[in-house]
Amino acid sequence: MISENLTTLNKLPLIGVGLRYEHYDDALNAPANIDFIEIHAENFFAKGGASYQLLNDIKQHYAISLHATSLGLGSTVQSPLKQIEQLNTLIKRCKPILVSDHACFSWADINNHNVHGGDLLPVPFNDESLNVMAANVLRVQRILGRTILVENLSAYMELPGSTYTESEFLTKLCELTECKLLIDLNNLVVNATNYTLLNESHEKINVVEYAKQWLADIPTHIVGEFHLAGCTPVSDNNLMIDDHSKPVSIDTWSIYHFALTRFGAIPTLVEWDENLPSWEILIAEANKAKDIAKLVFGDDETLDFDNIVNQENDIECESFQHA
Amino acid sequence: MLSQQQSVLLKAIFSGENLPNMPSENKGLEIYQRSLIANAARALSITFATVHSYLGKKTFDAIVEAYLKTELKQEYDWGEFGYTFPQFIQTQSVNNSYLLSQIAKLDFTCHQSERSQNVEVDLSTLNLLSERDAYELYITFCAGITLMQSSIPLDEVNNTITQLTQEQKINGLDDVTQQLTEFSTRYKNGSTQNSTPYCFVIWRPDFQAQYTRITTEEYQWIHILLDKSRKQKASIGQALDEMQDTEFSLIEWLPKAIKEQLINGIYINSLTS
Repeated sequence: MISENLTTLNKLPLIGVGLRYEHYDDALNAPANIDFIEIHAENFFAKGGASYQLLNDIKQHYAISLHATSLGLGSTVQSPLKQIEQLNTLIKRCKPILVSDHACFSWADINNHNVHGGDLLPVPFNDESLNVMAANVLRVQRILGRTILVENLSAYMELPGSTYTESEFLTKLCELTECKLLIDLNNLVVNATNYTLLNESHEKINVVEYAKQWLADIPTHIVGEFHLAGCTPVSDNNLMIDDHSKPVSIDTWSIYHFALTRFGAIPTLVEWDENLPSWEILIAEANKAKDIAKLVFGDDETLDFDNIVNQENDIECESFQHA
Repeated sequence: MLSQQQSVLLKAIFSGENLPNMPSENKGLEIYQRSLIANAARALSITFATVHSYLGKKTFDAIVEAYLKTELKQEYDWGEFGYTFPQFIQTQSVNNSYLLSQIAKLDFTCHQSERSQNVEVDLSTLNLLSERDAYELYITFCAGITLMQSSIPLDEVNNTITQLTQEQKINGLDDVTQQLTEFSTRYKNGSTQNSTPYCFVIWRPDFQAQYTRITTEEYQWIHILLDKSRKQKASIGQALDEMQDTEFSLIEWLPKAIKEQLINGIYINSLTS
């Protein structure tokens, strides 16, 4: 099951950050006042050694959210039992408050070999995909003995054959499996931005309005977590890449404000994977999320959305990349 | 239908080719193709850190790109990917490909050692050596212990390059390549005058893997004790029996093994005690 009562004593959402290699020392030596940290499950699959010890240390300081990236829940080729068992072993070790993976495929058969693409690949939104993904989610949940969260993708291509919208598809998935949705708000921004750029026949859409409508289509009871991150336009055609290399954009903060208002105090994670800032700047991003939550749920009249999201991070991110 | 769609897409991502009958999606496909190469290059540069440092990012990434076109990734964990990369390097038209493939093999073994299961250390059990019969006793080796042989003294190659770099006698990839070429010439791509291979033991006393060159007898001794193909693991007594026609000396080996943290303790097999 997903842990119940995932809010703070003040009824604010739990706010966490993604832990990456460059921040390991800081996270342990200068524990931050955050509610949880998210780790990528596969980074801790080793049976022993440094990462094994690190996890022992981390769980002394922080509640953990375990985010898997390799199950490929939409794959017609089932993930190996060993893979799910490894995840289960990790769950038993770190007792995470949340366990999640993505609404994508990663496994496929090529020349009679089960091949893993090492990426989060899109699926068409139709009944065949839905049945495959639901069966995989149910299998994983049965083996793990708990429900999981499934995250919406940033997708760079549209596979033919969709008969549902993404939000309809994910809602049906939750109905069939009792899994919860992890909504990556930045992925909504990425998909909306790329909508026209990836296919010239598409009409341009308003990113924030698209995201708000997407969220309005999702029933409130199926949402279990939000992800926030920044993204980068690539130079040649301004396609937006979900590389988590920037601060959260103002558009995404605005969508987050809307999402909290609609769904309530949902646990929220700030991710930053590339061009990493200092640990302090990452925590400052998490504090912005906390302030927006206070704005939505609290009674502090001094808080102002524009002031919160326009707070400058004093130090350039890039200078910390190799510090 | 879905199954075929997924196979076709994954095949296109690995091959770097366009999707048949879906020209409108090629812009997006390119992103996935680039992402695969970037992810693989990053993962393999960690696993094969020494090779990466000798080749430089540009050449290394080019080899990774070629590797992905021939080797479909079957591992779900990037940390396990690359088992066949050493052999692949050998087939590439880069300078010193044989030598680099041997270093890659050592890199991979060290990487696996660092990911291996922890083993408890209990040196007080060494007292058993004086208390019990050697046929009842078994060695608990350090975590990640593995043996490897090569026709090239890989420790000498790596130590030489490290030392020359520290002394600033070699600067940059060209100097490294030149140094590697000297070793390649000396050991003639494996067909060295020395028909006896160089033996190495790899182990992980803490978090970082170590390797050292060992004698043929030490290799044989550890091999007997680690041999998983036996019906029953060899006891110290049995291994010593098998080593009796060699110059191996347990009295000499043991203090060295303890000092280097190669062994974590001694245990009695309950079936034989």
